[in-house]
Amino acid sequence: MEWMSLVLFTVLAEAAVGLVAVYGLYGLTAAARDQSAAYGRLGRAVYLTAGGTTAVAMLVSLSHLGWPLFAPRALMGLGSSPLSWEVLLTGLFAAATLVLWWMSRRSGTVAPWLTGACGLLGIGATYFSGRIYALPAIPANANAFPVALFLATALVTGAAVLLLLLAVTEAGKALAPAWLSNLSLLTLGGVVLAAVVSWTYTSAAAAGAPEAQAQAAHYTGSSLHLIRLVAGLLLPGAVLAWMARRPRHIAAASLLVAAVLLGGEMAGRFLFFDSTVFISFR
Amino acid sequence: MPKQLGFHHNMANCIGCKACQMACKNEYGLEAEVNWRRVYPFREDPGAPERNFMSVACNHCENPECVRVCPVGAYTKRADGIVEQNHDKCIGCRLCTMACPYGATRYSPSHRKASKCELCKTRLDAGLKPACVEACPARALTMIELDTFDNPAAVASVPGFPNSNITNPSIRFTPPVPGKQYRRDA
Repeated sequence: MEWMSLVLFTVLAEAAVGLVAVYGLYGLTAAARDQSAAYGRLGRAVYLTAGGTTAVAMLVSLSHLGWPLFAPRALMGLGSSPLSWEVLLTGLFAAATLVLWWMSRRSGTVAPWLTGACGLLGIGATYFSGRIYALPAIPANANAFPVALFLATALVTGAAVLLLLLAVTEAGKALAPAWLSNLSLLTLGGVVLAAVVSWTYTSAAAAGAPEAQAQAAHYTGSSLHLIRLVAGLLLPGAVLAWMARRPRHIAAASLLVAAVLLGGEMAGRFLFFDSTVFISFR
Repeated sequence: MPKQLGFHHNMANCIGCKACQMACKNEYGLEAEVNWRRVYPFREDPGAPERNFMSVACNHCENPECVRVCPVGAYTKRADGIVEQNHDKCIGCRLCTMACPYGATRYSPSHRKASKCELCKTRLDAGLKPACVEACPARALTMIELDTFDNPAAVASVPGFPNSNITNPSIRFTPPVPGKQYRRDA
C-alpha cells in the first residue's frame, strides 16, 4: 500500500488535466459560443476544481518520498529525468489553473487560447508522468503503453468530472441540454479507449519476455482486476450509454459515473504500480 | 576506450559462500534489509542441484539508468567509470531502484534513501582492493579494467542475467563448467 500516494497523485492530477482539456475542447461548440456567459461561469468551477485537485494531489504525492521536505530538489534533473519534467509541468499546470480561476472571477471569461495552453501544460505533465514508468528494465512498460494508459485515464476521468459539474453547477445546468448527450458519448468513448489500451497492454505483456509475462499474470490475476473491469468499465459504460440515449439532467447518474470511473481508474493504477513494483524489486 | 573499472566473476570458482556479500555489509555497516552485493544460485539445468552461483553488485554501466532517471542528479559517472551516488542529494523517490535492470540500487526503509555499491572507491583511492574482492576465498571475484581485460573465456552475459543491451554493464563472467552427476541406477 506504500504506492497508494502515487496512485492518488497520478489519477487525481490526470482527472484535473482531462477536465481542463475537455472543457477547453467544448469551448469550440456552438452552445459555448451562444451561451458564453454560462460557459465562462462554468470555467470558474472547472479551474477551481482542477487547480484544487492538482494541488491536493501534489501534496499527497510527497508522502511516497523518503524525505518529502527536499521534494523541490526533484527539479534538478531536467536534463534527463522524466520525473523532473513531471514535477515541473504539474506544478505549472496547477498554478495556471488557479491563475485562470482568478482571472475568470475578475473578468468573467478567459481567452480560449489560455485554456488551451493550460490544457497542453497538463497533457505535457501526463506525458512525462507516463514516461517515468516506460523503463527499459521493465519489459512490459518499455514502450508507449504507460503514456497511453495515463492519457486515456485523463480523458475518461476529466470528461466524467465535467459531466458532474454540468449536474451540480448553475452554469452547467444551463449548458447541460446542449452538452449532456455528446459529453456522455465522449466519456463512453474514453471508457472504451481505456479498456482497449488496458487490454492491449496486458495482452502484449503476456506475449512478451518472461518478466513481462510474470507482470501480466500479476496484473490480470488480481481480484482488483475484476473489480476494475466490472465497476470501472462495464458499469459506467452502461450508465453512460443510457445517459447518451436519454439525455436528462440527472445529478445522481453523473455522480455515480464520476465516482465509479475515478474508483475504477484508481484500481487500474494500483494494479499498474503493484505489477511494476512486483517485477522491479527483485 | 576510456578507463572503465568493473568486476569479473569466475562462476567456475564460486562456491556460493556469500563472503563477498557479508564483507560488503560489514565494510559499510549496511542494515539487515540492504545488500549492495547479492549472491544468487544459478542452475545450468533446472533438474540439477544448485551448485553454481552468480555474485552481482552495481555493474557501473556504460549507460547507467540510475543516472538518467534520478530527478535530483544524485548519480554521476567518474572518469574511472565508477557510478557514484551523492547520498546527501537523495530524496528517496526510489525511481532508481525501479530503473536499474540488475536491482543494484537498494532502498533503505530506515535511512529512507537509496544506496548502492560504489566499487569501494575510498579503498581504491587508498590502494586497497574492494572489500568483496578481498574477502573471496575462492578468488572468484576480481576487479578489472575493461579496456585492458583480456580473458578469452569471459563473456558479457550468462543465462539468468538481465538483458545487458540496456545499459552495457561493466561485468564479465566466466561461465561455470558443466559438472557431472553420478547416479546409481535404480
